[in-house]
Amino acid sequence: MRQKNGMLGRFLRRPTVIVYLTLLGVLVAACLLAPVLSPFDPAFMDISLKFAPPSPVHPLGTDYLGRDILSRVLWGGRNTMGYAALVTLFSALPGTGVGMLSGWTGGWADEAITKASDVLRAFPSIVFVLIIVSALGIGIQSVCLAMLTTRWIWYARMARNLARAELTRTSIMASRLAGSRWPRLLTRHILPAILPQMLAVLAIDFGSTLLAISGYSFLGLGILAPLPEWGAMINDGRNYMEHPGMMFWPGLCVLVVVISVNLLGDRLRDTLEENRT
Amino acid sequence: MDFLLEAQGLRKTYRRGWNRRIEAVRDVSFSLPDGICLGLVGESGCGKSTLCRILAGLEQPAAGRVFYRGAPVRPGRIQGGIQMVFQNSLDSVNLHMDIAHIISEPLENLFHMRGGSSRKEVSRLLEMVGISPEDMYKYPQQFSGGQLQRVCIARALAAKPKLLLLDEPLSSLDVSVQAQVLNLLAGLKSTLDLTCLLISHDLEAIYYLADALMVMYGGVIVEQIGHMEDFSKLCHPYTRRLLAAYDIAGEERESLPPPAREPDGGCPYYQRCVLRTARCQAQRPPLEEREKDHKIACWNI
Repeated sequence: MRQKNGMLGRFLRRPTVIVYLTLLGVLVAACLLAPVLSPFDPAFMDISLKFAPPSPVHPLGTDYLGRDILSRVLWGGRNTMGYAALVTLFSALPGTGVGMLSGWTGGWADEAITKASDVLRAFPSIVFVLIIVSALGIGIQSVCLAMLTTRWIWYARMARNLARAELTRTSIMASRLAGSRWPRLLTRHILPAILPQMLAVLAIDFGSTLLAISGYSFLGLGILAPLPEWGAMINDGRNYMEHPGMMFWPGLCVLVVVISVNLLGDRLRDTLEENRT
Repeated sequence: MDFLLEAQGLRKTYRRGWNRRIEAVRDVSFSLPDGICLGLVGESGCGKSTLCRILAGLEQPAAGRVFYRGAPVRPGRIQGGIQMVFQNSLDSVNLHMDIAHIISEPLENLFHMRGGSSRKEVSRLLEMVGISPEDMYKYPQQFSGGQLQRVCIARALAAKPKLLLLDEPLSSLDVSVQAQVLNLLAGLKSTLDLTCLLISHDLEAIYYLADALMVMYGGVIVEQIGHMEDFSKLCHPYTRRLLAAYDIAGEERESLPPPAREPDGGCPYYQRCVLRTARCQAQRPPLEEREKDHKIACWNI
């Protein structure tokens, strides 16, 4: 019996976790399989069919240019979730690494990380994104870059604090006496201890990143037409409120993904708390 | 005489807030001959653990030096000859590793042992501390405190140390288990010819295991004897109170003021001492050899 698997097993056996994981899994799989599943090219227009109601050919109807909404939702999910995953991953990995190092070394580097994240917290991130986008030009790359530059530092702060707490354990001293040097201490002793909590943060952060990416696209700063993206699709639908399908389906997808990852993150944190007591 | 470990003028200061400094260890010098078990007693917070970490090379002292077999000990140059056993066994192991991995860490780092030879050595060490080698794939949470402390001892022995620093190894254990672990330590000490520093506030454990004794108070060594036969000659006012404390109820000890910790003060025991004079407050008494192998730091004895 492995204690570690015990915790993961308990997490996976919670009924709510099963429900949200299934929802999320189905949606992610459908989007990944968009080339196979989607009945039409997401950019294919048939003006004669605009605002078509749901039918066997167009299960979710068509939009103001006669494009198939189902195909656009599936392909849009690849963009929205893909970029959100990319930003989350590439802020989490360097952030966690830098944070652990800064917790380990202490001193001025540590001080700098802590102060920088304090400053960023006081500074609204949308302003930062607008500055970068106006400097580099509109496009999803600028938005992602702007988000990367600010988000990694949150992970650094988080990893730094968790690592600091872990470093006070006498197990670290014992390990140093056993001849372990910092690379081994960080990867074998600190990382496994802080990983579950970092994952919980990552899940919740993925949700907010996804919201931000669709938000910026909704504002017209991110993904540009004719590429499909959930936020941009909602923006398109805004002009045609009498045909709610255009906004409803991408909106529903954003809602489901964000709620699922947030609750999964919460449940993971709950499981960790239980484990500690 | 040949010394395994020598400490010269060790000092460690911690900052508390803006300008307050606390001297955890001040002017501690002693030497530890080969094959001796030295006991170190003192109440919690007297600097025992800090001293122990400096000796192990885990912390940099503010002043002073430590020599292990004539070579200076300092952080970043740890080579395994000195090992520690800590008070809280659950806190001193990685909870995400099975005990085979925990014990093989020094084997891998120090002797580059891997795979089968490492497994063989782990089972030998486990047998030595009285744990069945079949349990080597269990995780720390599956052991009791006493068993886990044995695992920690096995890990320390894996590095083939000459010097074992025992930082209150019995304090978190039940009384019956304490006796078992104490017996184990006594056996290992003689079979492996280990030199030990046993930190404890349990005088009975020290009396059982140690050959020599140091008494620490407020970061200072106040009394030292070279042989346990001189136990009855212990006479520093603090040592006497410590010995008497086994008969005194707890409340009286709690109500006493904490030791003076400001740098360059007088005797740290000044406020509590029954023999105090004006000189005690102004000047700190040096640790002087009054008889052979019996050192006392007090103006009034």
